[in-house]
Amino acid sequence: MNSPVPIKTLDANEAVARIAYALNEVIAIYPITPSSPMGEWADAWAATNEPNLWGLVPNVVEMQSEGGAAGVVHGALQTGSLTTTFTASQGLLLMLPNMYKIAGELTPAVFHVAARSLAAQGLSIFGDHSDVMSARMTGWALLASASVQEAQDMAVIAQMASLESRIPFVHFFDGFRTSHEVAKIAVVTYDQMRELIDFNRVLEHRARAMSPDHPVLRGTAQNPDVYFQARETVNPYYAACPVIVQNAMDRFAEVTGRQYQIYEYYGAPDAERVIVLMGSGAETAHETVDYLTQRGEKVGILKVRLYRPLEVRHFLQALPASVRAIAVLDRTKEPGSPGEPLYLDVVSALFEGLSSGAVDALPTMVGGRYGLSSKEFTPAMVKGVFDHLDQPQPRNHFTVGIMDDVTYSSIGYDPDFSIEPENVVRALFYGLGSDGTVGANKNSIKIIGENTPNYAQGYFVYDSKKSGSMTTSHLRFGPQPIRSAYLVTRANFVACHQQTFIERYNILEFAEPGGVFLLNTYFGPDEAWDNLPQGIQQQIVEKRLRFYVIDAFKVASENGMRNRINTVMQTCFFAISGVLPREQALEEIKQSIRDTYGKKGDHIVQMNLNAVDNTLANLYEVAVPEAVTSTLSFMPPVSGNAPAFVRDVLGPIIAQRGDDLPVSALPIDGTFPTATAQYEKRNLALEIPVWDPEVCIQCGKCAMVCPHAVIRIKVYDEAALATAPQTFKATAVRDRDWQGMQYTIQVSPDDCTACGICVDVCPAKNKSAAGRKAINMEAQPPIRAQENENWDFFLSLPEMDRRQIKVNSIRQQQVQQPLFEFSGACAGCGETPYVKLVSQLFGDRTIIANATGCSSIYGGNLPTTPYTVNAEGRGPTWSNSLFEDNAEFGLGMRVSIDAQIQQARVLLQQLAGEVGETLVTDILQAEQRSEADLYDQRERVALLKKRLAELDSAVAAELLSLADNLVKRSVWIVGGDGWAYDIGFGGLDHVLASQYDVNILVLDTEIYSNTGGQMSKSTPLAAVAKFAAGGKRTAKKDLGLMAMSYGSAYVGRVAMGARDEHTLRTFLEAEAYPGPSLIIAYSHCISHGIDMTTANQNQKMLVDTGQWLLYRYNPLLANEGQNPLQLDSRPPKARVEEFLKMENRFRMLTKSDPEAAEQLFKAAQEDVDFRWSFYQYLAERPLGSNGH
Amino acid sequence: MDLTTTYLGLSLRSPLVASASPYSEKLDMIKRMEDAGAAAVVLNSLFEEQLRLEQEAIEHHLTYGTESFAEALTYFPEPENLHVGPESYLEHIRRAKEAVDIPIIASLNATSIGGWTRFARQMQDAGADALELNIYAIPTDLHLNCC
Repeated sequence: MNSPVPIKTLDANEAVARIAYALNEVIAIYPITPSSPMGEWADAWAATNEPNLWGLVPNVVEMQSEGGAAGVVHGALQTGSLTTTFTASQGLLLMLPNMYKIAGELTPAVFHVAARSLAAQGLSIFGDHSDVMSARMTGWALLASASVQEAQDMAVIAQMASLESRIPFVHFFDGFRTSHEVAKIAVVTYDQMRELIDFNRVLEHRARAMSPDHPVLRGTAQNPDVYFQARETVNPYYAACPVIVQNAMDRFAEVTGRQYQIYEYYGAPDAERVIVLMGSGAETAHETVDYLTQRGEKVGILKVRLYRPLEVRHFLQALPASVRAIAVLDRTKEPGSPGEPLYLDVVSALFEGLSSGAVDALPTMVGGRYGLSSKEFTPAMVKGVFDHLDQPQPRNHFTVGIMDDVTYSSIGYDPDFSIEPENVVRALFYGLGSDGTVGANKNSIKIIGENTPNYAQGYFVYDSKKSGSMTTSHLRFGPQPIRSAYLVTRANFVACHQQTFIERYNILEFAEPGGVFLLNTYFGPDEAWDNLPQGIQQQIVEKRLRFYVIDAFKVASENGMRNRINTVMQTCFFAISGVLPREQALEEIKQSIRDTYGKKGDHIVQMNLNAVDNTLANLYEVAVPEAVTSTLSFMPPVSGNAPAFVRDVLGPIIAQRGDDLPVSALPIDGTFPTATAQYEKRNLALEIPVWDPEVCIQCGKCAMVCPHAVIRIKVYDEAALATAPQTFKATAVRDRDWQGMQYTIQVSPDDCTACGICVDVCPAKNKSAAGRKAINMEAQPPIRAQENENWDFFLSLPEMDRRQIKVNSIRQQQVQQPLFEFSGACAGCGETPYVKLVSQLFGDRTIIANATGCSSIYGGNLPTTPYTVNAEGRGPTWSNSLFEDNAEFGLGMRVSIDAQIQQARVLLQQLAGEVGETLVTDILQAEQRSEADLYDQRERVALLKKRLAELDSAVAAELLSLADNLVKRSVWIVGGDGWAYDIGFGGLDHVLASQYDVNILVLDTEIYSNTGGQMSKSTPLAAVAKFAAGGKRTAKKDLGLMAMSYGSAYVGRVAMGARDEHTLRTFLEAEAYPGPSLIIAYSHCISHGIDMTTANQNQKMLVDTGQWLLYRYNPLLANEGQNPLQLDSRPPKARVEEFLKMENRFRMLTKSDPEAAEQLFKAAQEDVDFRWSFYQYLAERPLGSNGH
Repeated sequence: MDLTTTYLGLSLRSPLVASASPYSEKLDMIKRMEDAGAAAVVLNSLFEEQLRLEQEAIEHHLTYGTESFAEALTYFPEPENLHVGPESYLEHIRRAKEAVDIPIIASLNATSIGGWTRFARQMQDAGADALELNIYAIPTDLHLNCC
């Protein structure tokens, strides 16, 4: 090859997607982390008519679930197209039935899987091999890649081999560790792919297609006489496959120069200790073996690439004859099995080798588990495993990387063992989500990778909160290929891009002696040192770090870039690190600005160029004193009087030390306590709302719309103020029902996210100060301490007796205690106020089945959870099962509770004589409608339990175990539109058709919010979303109408930001309805591209233009001869374009495709017009004789 | 009656010129103005600050919330093309020139040194017969002026 090899810096998702796109005609997907970007890349390329290898633009289809995607793939393959999909984890599980079919029909195809953990005791988005291992019985080949380069290359090899062998392939690589790692690779070109793909095989595939011109029949039902034989027909194909794969690898090497083996040994030729593994761990093990063999150790590794079919002969040949001890490492767990899958296969292979004479004697063989859910796997652990093999009888079925103090499976290793070479730049960057840090680093990798002979690697760690989260970028640059598939722990450059981090975390923990520390701070070079915590100063002094500071926010805002500091910090990095000569670096940064921002407009380009020019003048090196001078210490991770579990388990997780927790610290069955979010004080808000009692009209709206329950209202006796802090505010209550009492609105300064929605919604105007309201945003730091004191006092005030609160009016209802607080939702989230409302109205008797999605992430992502308890210790109990089963999961809860109630009622009657006839009658006949009713029933049940405890019988004990169910339970099935409209619709539909009393809350953001904005069937016309980049062409699915068609389900459609009282009324009616009720709640979202602070203005326009109709369909009204549908919206008073233009998801289309925008906006208006007149008709039509 | 006259070096069939307004945003309205006897049409204005604000708004919304949460590293598909510069206005000048015989006068509200001359040149190259320049300076606030 004479022409230079094209290189690119990109992550495995992009590299693989590029190959899959080139080699396929149909791509059917469903988004799931960490594979979603592959589908998004394919969609983006198709949208620009990028051709595949054969000049065709692939058809990219987003389905309703992975099951649906697999069905499409099967259908497309059966009709002769080259077809692929991208998935992971639960998604792969949903494809299993189709995979059996596709393999049974010997159909060539490649699925690309970013291998991820399966949800067991908890869900995880991170990487291990559990998902692909679940597919090992399907008959698919399993081909593993260990790096970004391999991922690209194996994608080609898999296609070649699949077409040749007719066996479908799962090509997998580690989720996150490889899928999201940015690295420099040699690109496989279209010309090279043309040489490698045998087009005759493609034609053969087409010739096998279903066609009426030569019709065939597949998918027969077979009987005991022939199924077995038919199943065995595939044997020659599986036998031939491994050689076909190796041949493909050899041909690949001829064309590209990169040679792979299906089982590749690396290490000492006379190795005695060998580790067998696959995936990214093999890269880490490879570099560790290099290090150890250079020091004379007789070790090696066997990299497994072709896991299925497992070719025993080739496998045994790859092992050195000298091997005495083998450790097989599995990145999965199979509880109850005699060993993990790869281990069992290796044992079986060696045993067969022994039987056939290929092997003289069995070496010691042990199996170990590592790296589950992206747990780090480091050279220290590799060495630990080799040392383990040195023992005369190494323990089998061990774990490495954790501390197992329950069954003592974990082996030790030296955590300080490091093989990081001197000539590699290792940089750590701590940034705040969305400040541009990650983007800048990806750009730096590109600049260095594509402009120097250096290899480059970038890996990014995010935390679990949706806003205010910390990002850590791990970068390496060096002259040799970088195989270090683990985090940087010895950084010669550490940058902290946010002042607040140094107050909480020891971010210099991983700084190497003699390295550099760059801090973005609002303190100038003369004050910066004094404002560092002691722990940080200590690190700087002890490690002799050079210390630089810059006020990046000042430079950014001076250049019009608000709080995006990427360009500024990137310039600093290059200036200080010297990876490129300074002038060249600046020029490269400027060129990449032109490339990246060019299409965003001249002004954006210019702002960034100016920022580069103005940065260095603001960068200062600070002279480091000889000794520590500070007395400031780090903030503790959890506040004050946290319970032991919070302090000892959740605290370390919050402080980024969760890896240190041993097995015994974690719950055995995934059960966690609620009420823990209150202990994680995030202190994010630079401004918080401050209440002005004089101006306040006590409407309650601010408390209702707060997404995080940080602004609350209490009404209480004046006497309680006797011990109030000096700055605590209170005023006489205005509501006549509560005359004589005091009223306070209080904000929690450490929990507020400064979204400003409460201030925006406040209707009160200060008549003497224009522009000011009853609450106004003010700087937090000066009032933080006093407001914390006020908040603590506020919490100590007694809650109003719920029987005294009129729940159907917001001004009173908002005094109810929220039992959902401080979640990790985005600042300004539109979903959480609805969840909070449920917790206020019904929380002390609520059971929640929550679908996967935003609501399960902010609801249940460790370390802390936002559902909490009241003073009696009651509060919502919550569980996330899966995505697709949520309606059924909730129905199961209801059916179960009903059975228990039934049983309790029977037992009550049996025991009436002993516990009291009157008590029993009262309990059985209680209507339990109002808070007063519920209060009374609770009293009765408490009395019942007391009396039962005094009885000494099995019947009494049984009733005692069931008695709590006699207080009315509220079952809530909660989820987003991704669940309700798409993947979970089948189950939802079935639940709606039933007669069970369940309450379904659909938090409708009109898009797949949690996975980054893919379209759902709820996405409206003209909206721009992933898989609808040119604007959605089809109308929004009318879920409400479908539900109404049953005639037996209550359906309500609400928008809190537009009509809050209507929302409250609907929630009350829905919960009271004795059957399935569905609430579709409009939720504004960050993925709408709006100013989150004024989101409620958007909701008002949404409703005023008729884009979102408000209604309640109550079947009970039909019983009274009334039309069950009440249309609560007024006729539209503005054109829908007024609303569309407020949101970037629509407005962007006017800039990216003005003609399409015009067409679709027109269609949107027609849709609104149609829907308004249709609903008007439904609501006004005369009823039939049956009341419908 | 001969109502012809000249203005800015242009020959006009009458002294009635339609001044800048939203009417001239649509080609069919420009044609109607010609049919109704307008001697020339001044187009709706191009506002440099509007272009700047739109660019900033799109960039803000495309990046807000990104690279924070591992499952949703971005929230929008990256658009291939964004018509955020003066291109659509310049195209409008071109089309207007093709559609009518009367002179088309482009209207500019720039806000920066360099912005004035750059946009003016582009409008000239797009075929505008003349330019309306909306310069201003506010005596009570020296910072609020047009460059």
